[in-house]
Amino acid sequence: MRRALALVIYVVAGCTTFEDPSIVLDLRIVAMTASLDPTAPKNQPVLGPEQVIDVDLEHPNPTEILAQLQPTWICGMVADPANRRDLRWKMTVCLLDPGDRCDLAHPVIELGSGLLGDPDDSETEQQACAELVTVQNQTLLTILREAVAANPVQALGGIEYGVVLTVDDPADPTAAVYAAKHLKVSARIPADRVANTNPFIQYLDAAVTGIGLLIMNCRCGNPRCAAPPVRAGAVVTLFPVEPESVREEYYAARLDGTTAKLIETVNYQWLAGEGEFSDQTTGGGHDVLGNQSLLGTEWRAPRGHSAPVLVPIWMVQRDERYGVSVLESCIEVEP
Amino acid sequence: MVRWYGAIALIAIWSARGIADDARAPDQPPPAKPTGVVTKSPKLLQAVAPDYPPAPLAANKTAKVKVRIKIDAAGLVTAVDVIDKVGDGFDEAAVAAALQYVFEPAEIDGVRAPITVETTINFVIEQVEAPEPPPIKPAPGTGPQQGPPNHAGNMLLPVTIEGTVVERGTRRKLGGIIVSISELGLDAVTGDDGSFHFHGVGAGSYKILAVDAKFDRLERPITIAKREAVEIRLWMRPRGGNPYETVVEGDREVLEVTRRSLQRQQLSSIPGTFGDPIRVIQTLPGMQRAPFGLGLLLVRGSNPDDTGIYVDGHEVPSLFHFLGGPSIFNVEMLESIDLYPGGFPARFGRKHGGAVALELRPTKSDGVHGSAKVDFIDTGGYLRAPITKDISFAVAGRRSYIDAFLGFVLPTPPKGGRRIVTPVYYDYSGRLDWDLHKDGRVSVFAIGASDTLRVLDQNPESAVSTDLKTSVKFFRVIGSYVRPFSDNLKLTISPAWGRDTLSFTGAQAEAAGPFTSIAIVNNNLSYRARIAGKLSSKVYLDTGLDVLSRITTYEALIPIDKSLVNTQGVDIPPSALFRGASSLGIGLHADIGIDVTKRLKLVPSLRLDSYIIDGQDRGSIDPRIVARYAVTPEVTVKGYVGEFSQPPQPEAVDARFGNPDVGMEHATHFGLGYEWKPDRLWSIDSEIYYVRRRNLVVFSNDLVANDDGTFKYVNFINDGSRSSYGFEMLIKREISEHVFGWLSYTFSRSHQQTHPGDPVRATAFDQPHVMNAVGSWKPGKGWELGARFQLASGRPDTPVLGATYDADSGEYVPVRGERNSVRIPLFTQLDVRAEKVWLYKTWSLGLYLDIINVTNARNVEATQYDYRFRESAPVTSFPFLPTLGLRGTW
Repeated sequence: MRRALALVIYVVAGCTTFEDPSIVLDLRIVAMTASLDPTAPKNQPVLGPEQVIDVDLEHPNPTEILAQLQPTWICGMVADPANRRDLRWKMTVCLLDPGDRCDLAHPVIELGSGLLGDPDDSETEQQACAELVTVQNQTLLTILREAVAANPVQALGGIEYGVVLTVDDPADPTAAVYAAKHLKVSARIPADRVANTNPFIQYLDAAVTGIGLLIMNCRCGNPRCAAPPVRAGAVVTLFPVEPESVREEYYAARLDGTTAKLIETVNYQWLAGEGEFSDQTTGGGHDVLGNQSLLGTEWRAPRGHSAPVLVPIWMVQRDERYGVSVLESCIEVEP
Repeated sequence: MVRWYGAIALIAIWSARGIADDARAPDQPPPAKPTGVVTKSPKLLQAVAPDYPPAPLAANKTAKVKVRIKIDAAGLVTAVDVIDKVGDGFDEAAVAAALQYVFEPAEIDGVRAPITVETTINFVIEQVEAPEPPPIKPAPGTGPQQGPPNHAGNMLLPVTIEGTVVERGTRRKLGGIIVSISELGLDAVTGDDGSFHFHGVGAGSYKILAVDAKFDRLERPITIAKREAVEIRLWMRPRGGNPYETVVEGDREVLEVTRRSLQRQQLSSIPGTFGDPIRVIQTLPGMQRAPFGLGLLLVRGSNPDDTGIYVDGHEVPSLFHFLGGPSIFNVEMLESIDLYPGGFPARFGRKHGGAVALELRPTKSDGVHGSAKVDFIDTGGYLRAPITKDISFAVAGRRSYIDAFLGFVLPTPPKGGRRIVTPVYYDYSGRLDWDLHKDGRVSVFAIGASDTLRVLDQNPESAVSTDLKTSVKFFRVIGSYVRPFSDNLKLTISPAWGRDTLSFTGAQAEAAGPFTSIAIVNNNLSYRARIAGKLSSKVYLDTGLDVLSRITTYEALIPIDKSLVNTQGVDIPPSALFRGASSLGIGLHADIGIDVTKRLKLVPSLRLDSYIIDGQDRGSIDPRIVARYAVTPEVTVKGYVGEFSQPPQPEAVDARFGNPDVGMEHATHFGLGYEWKPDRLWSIDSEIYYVRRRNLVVFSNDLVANDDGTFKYVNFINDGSRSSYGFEMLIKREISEHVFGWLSYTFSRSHQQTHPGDPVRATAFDQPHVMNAVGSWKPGKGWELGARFQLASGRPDTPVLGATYDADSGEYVPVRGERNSVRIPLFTQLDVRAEKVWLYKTWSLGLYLDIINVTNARNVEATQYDYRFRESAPVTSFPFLPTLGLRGTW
């Protein structure tokens, strides 16, 4: 009956229109990434959201566990197209509550804070980044312990904890936005288990009416960014070309203590400053009908501008094990 | 002798009518209201013949009783005083009769007002003059001098005038109608088949008169020639009232405290219900308002699944077509619907919420009758007919045609593509009755319903396509054999079989087979044996056996892997799944009504249930007691306390997806109230109640460790508890010629605790105040106007305080406030209905306009949010929604 009620609500609610989630109109956190090597090139695999450690299950030694953990760089990418302002950010490590905020009943690590230049106009990428230091980090160890205690299967599938990023305008702290990212620590079971790496693409294949466009990592705020021009109303096809290795094989824990070997799915979230996407998310697994979602989407350039405008495009690539990478680009729309 | 009685009654009615008409004279102002001008005198609409006191009748004694009648502004008699007493029981008989008169109200200065009139009720024993000798010679031999009531005249002579009295519009044959030839002083009272016979009426012209309180007076001239015998048919036009009044074999024994019953007329003409009988139930006290007009039965804070729906004692899973559609049952198939919001009799088992009992209508018929209905949504019909004198049947059916209209409003599919949306529902039912006379009655009833929805969307330029099919089907066949068990006991044996299926398939268009699918099939076999009746003048027994066997199969092709610790985002291929569950329940029940004194009645009850659910034993012992005390003939106080138990659903004890350790749910009902019936039209029923439910089966996502170090999901556990309390009141005006309606009000609070230690919160459907006002008025000339006003507190809701962007899924997670800590706004809705009926001789035609939410109030049912939970908009209930329909009856 609840399903019937939900269906009725869905049908009735279909009359109301809200903002298009794929169009970034104001302050938003576009993505958060975790990486063990922040200097690694974006088109190569890099370890980040998960760390695999050796644990003596009979006699786990916290000190040994902590010693195996490597420092992790967590970064948040922010957009704020409606305003020209600097922003304040803060990052914390904690156990997450049902609203993906820090559960204050458990310890919290203040990971970092600072100011960001205007994220849209700055020449350089304005990311909120902080390093999770693991050496002698007893608070982190406490968080992990409490995560195990709260885990109904005693960390059989790994220990999860979170990083919460808060971004606001110092002049208006009530309008803060929040984002959360999961990090994970897994025991090396079976022995050939390896950590997840962030996904990446070879390149983004783009075209307008069959003519290819050169889409690369480039920010609209960067004057050296050569944004490809398209006509207002033109339809740009966007297709991420994946390397073969991006969909990793991995082990997943079963309740009976065994493991299953699975292959990752990869999905894509498409965001832009203006225009309209045919599909806001692509990729992923099969839907209930058996459709294998296509990877690509179509973006229709906005109309109504009397002068050329630069429109940012973001492609956020994710796997099912918290691996995330971002491609930010820019297209010039001519009237 | 009976013929004499009829004659006496007729004389009394016309005598009273004449005097009342005299009151119209402007020079006879009403004594109770000396001021103002009587602009309209009261008009006698309904008179009741007084009972002639036996002693003076035997002594051939007559009398005239002068009475003063007080009439209220509604035309009802509120008091009768005898002005000059004559004794011999005449005074009491006159008062008793006059109290039942119904008048068209008087008007003073153009406004309806109470008035007092004086009249004389004459008790006269008519002296029948001997008819003139007939031209036809009497038949040889001797015949009875006194025939049956529907025969008049000299029984030794042949019948010269005979006929049938039928109702105009329905051709229903009318029994109990007085047919008279005033010139000859002959009176007959029609038999059950509507027939009357006059013997030995000679040649001449006469006036045939037919009268009954519920029908317009009919006068028809007739001329009979010498040696002629004529046959006539008298068509009587109903005045209003309840033409479908329930006929019961004696009064139903009251074994429960609170039963709210509806008659068929009330079921089909309530505004805003589309003539749907079950929706009328939702306007009674004890019922919470269901969102979006869905057919949920929310009784006293219980979940919809906790209320049993019984058709002639057999449980059925549903009464409604899906998504708030109409009920599956044709109202013409039903005799009555009873709602038991609490403290219900032991014969209704396996539920701890409430009970809704549908009693089926026997098909006995004096001819072929039926009805048909057409409106924008569906069309349906009903037919009832005799096969032989003792065998009769009825059939009904309905089919929707929303699918025929949807094509006009759906977006056009792309070139070369297809877009098909076909929601279709239909239902059918049939019943066969065989009257075995002294050996009882046998009946077989079958009902089936289907709801299907197919959505096909295919675009040649897209690799993504949709082909969804859902289907809900329901079938029951119920046999019944009723026969006398002893002088005062009745035995009912009733087996039933049914199948319920629910299926869903999802595939790409033109795929060879489904990608995902679910099919759930329930096969039910039930058997009831019941003995009910009086054991003595003070003890009534209702006892029986209640057996239900259910086998459920689940067949699925779904992407599920419950052994994985975390399946989020994993592309799991669908795998075939086949599960089954079986349950057998055997129940014994007994309700014993004991008249301890003339005023006090106690009804102790006991229900014993034993179950085998997937090999697991369960059981319950539920004692209950009900007390009723008649403080005065008009006022009864009542109270009850009792235990009620409900077994877990078979799927809840499934070893893989359920929990084999799940046990019975229990509830204790308490109630205290009164019934006040100040007169024959008005009644007030009020009650306070408290229900404590415990060991409720709740879902749990917890994992527990097995002994071998592995883990398993708990799935279901008996951790829940819930309490409800409240106050209910029903002020009801029974159906009369022009008006019926009721006002119901419910104050209730319901709280629940999901697991021990969790906070106690309001339940999802908690509504402190629910009020329904229902009224229907027949101004005459075939019009019926009705209105329903609903007012209900908003349901609890959980506020959203903000949101966090989940950077690993790309979606926002809401930050919610305290669960169910706020309420959606108050719900108010006014529905109206107007129907005009044209009566033809053999059939009637009704045109109705039913308007839901005539004021177009924007009633909030839920709140929807944007992708980041920053903006919100209300999801509202029905807007202004008119429905025009035609209904034919014959």
